Amino acid sequence: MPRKTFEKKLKSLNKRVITMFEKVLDRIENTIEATKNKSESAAQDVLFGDDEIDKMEQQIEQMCIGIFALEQPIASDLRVVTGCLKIITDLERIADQCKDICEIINNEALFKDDISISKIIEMLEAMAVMFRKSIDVFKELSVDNAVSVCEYDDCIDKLFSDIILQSCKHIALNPKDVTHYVDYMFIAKYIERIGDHCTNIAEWVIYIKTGRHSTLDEQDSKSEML
Amino acid sequence: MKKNESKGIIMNKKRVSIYDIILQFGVYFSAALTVFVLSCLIIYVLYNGLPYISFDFLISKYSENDESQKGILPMLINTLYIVVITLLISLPIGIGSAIYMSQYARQGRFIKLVRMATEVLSGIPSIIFGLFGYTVFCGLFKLGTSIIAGCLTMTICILPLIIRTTEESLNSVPSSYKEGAIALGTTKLKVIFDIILPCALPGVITAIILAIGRIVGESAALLYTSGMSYTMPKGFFKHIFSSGRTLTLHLYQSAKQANTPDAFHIAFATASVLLILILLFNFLAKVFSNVFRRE
Amino acid sequence: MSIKLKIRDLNLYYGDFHALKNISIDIEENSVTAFIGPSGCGKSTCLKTINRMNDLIDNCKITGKILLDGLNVYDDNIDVNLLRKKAGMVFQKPNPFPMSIYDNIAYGPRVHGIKSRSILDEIVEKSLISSALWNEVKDRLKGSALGLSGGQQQRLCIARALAIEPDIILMDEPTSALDPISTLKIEDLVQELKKKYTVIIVTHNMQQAARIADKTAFFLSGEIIEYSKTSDMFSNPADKRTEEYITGRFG
Repeated sequence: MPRKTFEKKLKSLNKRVITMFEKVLDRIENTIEATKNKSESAAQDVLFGDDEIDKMEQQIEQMCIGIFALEQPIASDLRVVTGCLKIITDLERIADQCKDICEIINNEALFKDDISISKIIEMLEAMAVMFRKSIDVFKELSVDNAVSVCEYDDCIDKLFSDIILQSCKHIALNPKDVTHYVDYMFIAKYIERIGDHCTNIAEWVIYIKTGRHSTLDEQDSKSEML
Repeated sequence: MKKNESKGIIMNKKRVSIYDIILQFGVYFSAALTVFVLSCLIIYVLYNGLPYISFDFLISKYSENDESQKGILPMLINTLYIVVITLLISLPIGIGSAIYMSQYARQGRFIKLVRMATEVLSGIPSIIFGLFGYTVFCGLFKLGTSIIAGCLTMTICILPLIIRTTEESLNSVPSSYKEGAIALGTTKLKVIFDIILPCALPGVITAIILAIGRIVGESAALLYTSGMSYTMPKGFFKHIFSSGRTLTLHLYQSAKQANTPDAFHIAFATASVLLILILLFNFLAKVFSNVFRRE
Repeated sequence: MSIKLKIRDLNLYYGDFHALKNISIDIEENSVTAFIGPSGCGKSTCLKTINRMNDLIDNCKITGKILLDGLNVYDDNIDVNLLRKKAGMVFQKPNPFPMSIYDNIAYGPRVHGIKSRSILDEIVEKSLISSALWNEVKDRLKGSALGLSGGQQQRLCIARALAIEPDIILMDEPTSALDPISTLKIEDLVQELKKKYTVIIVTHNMQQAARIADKTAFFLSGEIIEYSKTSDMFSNPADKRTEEYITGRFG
């Protein structure tokens, strides 16, 4: 079969993206650790490890551009390289959100409200499950599982609105604690964003596999109507 | 490492085998011998003939008995007659069949047979053509020994040459020209006359010049057919049906009848004229094909 | 867009060899359609059936229909020479005739009965302008066409095809003998030509098909495997064999 060097490049691209997935999973787990056990070192890891993720993203970006320029991928190859290029952006964002969460969580005062913090932990763990699922989806390029990842996002959204409602109630009752509850809401918002990024990843996997992408196809039919 | 590798292609000493030297010498020797023999022949003929060629020799009449009339004018005229008439008959037929063979005929067994036939025909000794012409044209067609009978015989002689040379040059016209013209909605006949024949023209002209050389140089085929008469033409068209000897036949006859050294001079002078003509035609053929190739 | 050319159940045999198998395809007017596929897949053969160039080949048998503007080109009452006037062709290797640039272009119109010098002048100029060659050769129309560069010769051949005012232009790998810059010029030209003509182009260069064709047909061993919008085919081909071919995983 021809195009051996190209095949090699695609394989190494895939490997690097998976490595990046694993690094980001690391960050998520550390974030949970920092939240659950108030682990200072875990939070520091996330805060100072972000550069590494950024660098990985840049390297993979360079690699994709190189493949575009030198190998002119088309059809499924084109979708793999484009998909990876988009997925690493989402991964980098996820790492950013983790960093943002860890920055807030350093505040001792937040841990006074056990109920809220346990809600946050519940949401974090749900998000971690969703992220692990999306790793598998990318590794296996499984469309069915990708769809279930997208559906899992509803579960995250539900937890998000719970936390928002609860926080609003608390603010109404104890206006002096407003900063803490705003922090909770921010954290919830960050986690909810991570869920959205996971959904994006799953959608790109569907694109890699089938050539269809929910938002792209919508755009297509719109522009055709014009 | 690198030094050793690059050293591998440097010759340590000159290794030329003795066989190479012998072979090279042999090849040079053969070539030199050919040139030597050819130039000897030409020089010998011209040395013996040239002194007797004069303007007078070219334009005066000939008589076997009259010593004062030993010119070759009638023979030149007869040769011209045979060349022109033969070409008039053979060119349309030859070029026509070449066009048929290269453009129309399906390249099958029949064409192979025709091609083989023309090749065999060009290898047949010309005296056999003479015999055939004598019995068929002179006898059967009741043309007698006449220039026209000679022309018809010569036509058969040179047709293979014309057909093969023309066909080759027609086939060498890139088929892309033909395709291009056909794709513009041209008929096949028009393509042949507009594009293919003009492209093949240098080849056709070469064929004509070679054919002229062949006619001028032919003797055996004309010996029985065009006769030996050396009288001057009595009428432009009438002459076609009368007997007449060409330069080659004149050479043959005068050498045969030579019993004095002087008679040999006539033969050599005629030979010189022939030789010069043939060289001229070959030279022309070369010039033509070169000029056209450059274009 | 209306359908200019309809091929229906076209089968072609060279002797015993079944070269085209049940080809059916619709070609839209004022569009560029590319035929791609590996060597010997029948794409050039299919192109040549449209203006009946395969008539020149012995023992070639055809069944099925090719409808050009609704008329079957293989009907008995079709004048092949007029058909070829309607469907101009450009070949793989530039093949200008060994005559002047002017005569090359005027040849087609002359064959079709145009004698007036002024009309011929006009046609020559118009064709050369349409093929983007006018500025390069306007001062040497009487010069030999063989003195032009390969790319110019090919554009001259395009001008020659345009001079007979065809509806369809058939191009058989028109850039395979040209350098990259000349190739891009021809590609630009094709984009211009589709405004007035319907262009069908056979190409070995998949990037070329991707760049210039509106729709692409993929041929494999005498069949059309896939025929779709070029952007669809090159981002998401429907058939696995198409995918293998265009991504270079073929064979």
